[in-house]
Amino acid sequence: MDDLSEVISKFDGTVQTLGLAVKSAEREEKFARAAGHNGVDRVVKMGRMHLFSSPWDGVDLIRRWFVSFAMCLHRNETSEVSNGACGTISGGPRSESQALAAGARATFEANKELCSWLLNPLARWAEAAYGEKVFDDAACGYARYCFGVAQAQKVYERAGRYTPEGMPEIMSGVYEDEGYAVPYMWAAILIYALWRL
Amino acid sequence: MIKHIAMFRDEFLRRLAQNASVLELASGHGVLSLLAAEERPDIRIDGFDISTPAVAVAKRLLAVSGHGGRVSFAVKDALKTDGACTNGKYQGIISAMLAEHLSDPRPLFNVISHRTSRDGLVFFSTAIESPQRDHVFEYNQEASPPNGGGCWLARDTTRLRCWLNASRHTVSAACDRNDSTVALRAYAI
Repeated sequence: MDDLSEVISKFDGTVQTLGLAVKSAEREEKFARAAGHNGVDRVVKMGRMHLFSSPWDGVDLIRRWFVSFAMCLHRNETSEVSNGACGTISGGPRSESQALAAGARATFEANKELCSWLLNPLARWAEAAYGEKVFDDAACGYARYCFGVAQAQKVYERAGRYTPEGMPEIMSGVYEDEGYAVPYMWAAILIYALWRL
Repeated sequence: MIKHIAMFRDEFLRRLAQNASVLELASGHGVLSLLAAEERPDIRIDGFDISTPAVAVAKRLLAVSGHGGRVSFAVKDALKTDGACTNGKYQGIISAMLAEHLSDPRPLFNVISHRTSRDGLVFFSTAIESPQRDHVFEYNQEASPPNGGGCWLARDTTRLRCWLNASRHTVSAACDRNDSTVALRAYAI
């Protein structure tokens, strides 16, 4: 085929990304539009098809972390969800929830480049591995972890020292318990980007 | 915690030797190793963790990351890292937020010391005073000198240098310190 238009006209919705290198900007835009009409999600410069950036396919992945946080914390505040992913969070009154969400957002806003360095690929890998639900799961794991830390801090302040269980109990109840360890893992990475201290 | 990431990327990853072999002790979710592979396409990384569910998460993320040829994760006690790469030595060692989970962190420092090659670089961070269900060793009180107190690890790296084996390592001054956590960069010499 001699004409790029002819190639693009053959697209049937299975082409996700198209790399273009056309001297004329006008023609390039024309091809891009045609590609979009034929089901192409992304049109980028030739050679940049595999370079990840956010937004990705029109979706701001980092924003989704915060939307999930907001939803998770809202559910926690209103206690409307009893069996959802966040239904088992306890101990987070409204003021603490708001402070948690505001603190995470403020840390991100103050360190956008660095947070994006972590959160962008994390979002990409997490969604590819676990699907969209991972944003809710991770956000709820993060919130549950933060409230757990706050409760542990109160115990610590009363005791004046750490009061851990024995190592066998920690092994079975934390490291080997999938229901505890997996949300904990999401929290353990998110705190790097969302905790100022 | 965001400063830890700044230090991890800028002071550790970007200063590793070309084609460095890296060991992450207690790699957990594996994301630090995967970020390392993303930042440095020339390095190889082995991650060990004692938690089966955590390693399962790490492997699942690894499978979609595109770094499968250079990163591996295995269920293994971080303090029993035998049979590693070249002579068991690594040019980079990551021990991020592990030491506070151990009843005695000194064996960890021994592992770090013995596994770091002569041109190696260590990224070490720990919670100094941060109660959690699985935080066992509190640096502020259990490790402070009898007449001292306070964050000895952040204030005075002498003991850490000793634990790391002073003849082979220097430890930078605390580059990231706050009230509850510390991140240090240790150079092998």
